[in-house]
Amino acid sequence: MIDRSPTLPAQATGLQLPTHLYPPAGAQSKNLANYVPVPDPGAQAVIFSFTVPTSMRLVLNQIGNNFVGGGFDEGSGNLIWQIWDNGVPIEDFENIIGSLGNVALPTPMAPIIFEQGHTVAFIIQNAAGSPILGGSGQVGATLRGWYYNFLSAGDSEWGV
Amino acid sequence: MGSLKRFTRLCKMALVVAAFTAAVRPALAQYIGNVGQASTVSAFTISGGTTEQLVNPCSASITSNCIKMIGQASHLVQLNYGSRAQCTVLLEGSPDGTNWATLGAATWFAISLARFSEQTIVANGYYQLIRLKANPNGGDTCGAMTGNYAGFQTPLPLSPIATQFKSHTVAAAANIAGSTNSTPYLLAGFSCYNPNSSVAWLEFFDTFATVTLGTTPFFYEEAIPAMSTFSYTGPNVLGLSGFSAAAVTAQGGATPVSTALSCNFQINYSGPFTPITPLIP
Repeated sequence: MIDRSPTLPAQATGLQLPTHLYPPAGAQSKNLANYVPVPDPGAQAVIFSFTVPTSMRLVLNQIGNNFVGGGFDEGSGNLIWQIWDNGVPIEDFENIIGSLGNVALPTPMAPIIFEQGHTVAFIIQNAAGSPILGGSGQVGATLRGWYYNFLSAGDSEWGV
Repeated sequence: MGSLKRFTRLCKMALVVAAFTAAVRPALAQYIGNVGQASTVSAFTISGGTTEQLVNPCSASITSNCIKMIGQASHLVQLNYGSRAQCTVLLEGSPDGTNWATLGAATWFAISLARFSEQTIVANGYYQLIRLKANPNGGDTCGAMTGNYAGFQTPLPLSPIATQFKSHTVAAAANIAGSTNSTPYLLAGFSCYNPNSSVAWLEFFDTFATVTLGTTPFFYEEAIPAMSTFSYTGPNVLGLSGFSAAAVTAQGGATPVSTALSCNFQINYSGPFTPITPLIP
């Protein structure tokens, strides 16, 4: 007999798949995507940001970022994308110097998790001295995944 | 007999299995992203007036009434002008945000009441920034206009367009085009008849300002024998300021001929003006 009461942690039934790999029942898809004009050299801009609601946990497992314009060499360091957690670049995503996928066709990645109340943001920096002029192109980014009520899903309060 | 039934049954099963296999066969086509030619369209308005007005590239701080950049290499501007007041609109491109090249232009002349209210500017070339500049010297009183900019990744086919003939008598310095504002043009050709009984020296000036004969530098001078016609049929000569002509009695002189030359100028006011190098008077 399987008790499907929402008050009972699902993982207690032994049927719950890892919530950072598979969206649990009741999870909502999250597709963050936006384009902004490339900022001036030496400046940065927020492509998009999202604050995880209370009691929710955000899992992101697809990424895409690209530049639509001319004069940008992949890996040159003239454009640097970053993913921030509460205003701080997160490990492995603090110095993205090329396209990791297209906004229209993001790349799967090992999931990254944001806790309730945390704000995830995709940032673009146009390096000082960059030959790419402000407004000379569009910078895009996307992060995709899902968020869910981690207590109903049977997760522990912190981490998975 | 029994083996035949078995064989028939096996054949049926094989058919069913084959049908199921075909039904669940995954699609083999692979989605490889958006590979079509990207284009961008920006609608804008120019309010007119007596001052220079810009339609700038879009940026973090300019999000409307601006031109979006996606690395486009060709440009098409459609302008709808309801006024009959004289006005010039330049399409400009810049590689650095500081130096701007005139790629094309649209000019409405006050005297040309019959000209189309709609004009199109077409130009090729990749520039990091593209903008429109109306009433470039603030010398006109432009009317309001609306328009659309479209940019494409591949060049557009270009052909000589908007070339018109202007008949003019030339003696003392006369403004042929652009009397109040910087008006870019391509002088495609001209023909002048000298009715005088002595040689006339024909001079061209690239300026919309008042010309002082003998002082203002000219970019072209040609001697036309008495009672003769001289014609020029290109290549195109690019001027960016305005076009004035004069006929004087001596080389580099300051005295106009006694009887005006009868001239016909073939001028293109729309461009494209690149990659032709501007003349330096």
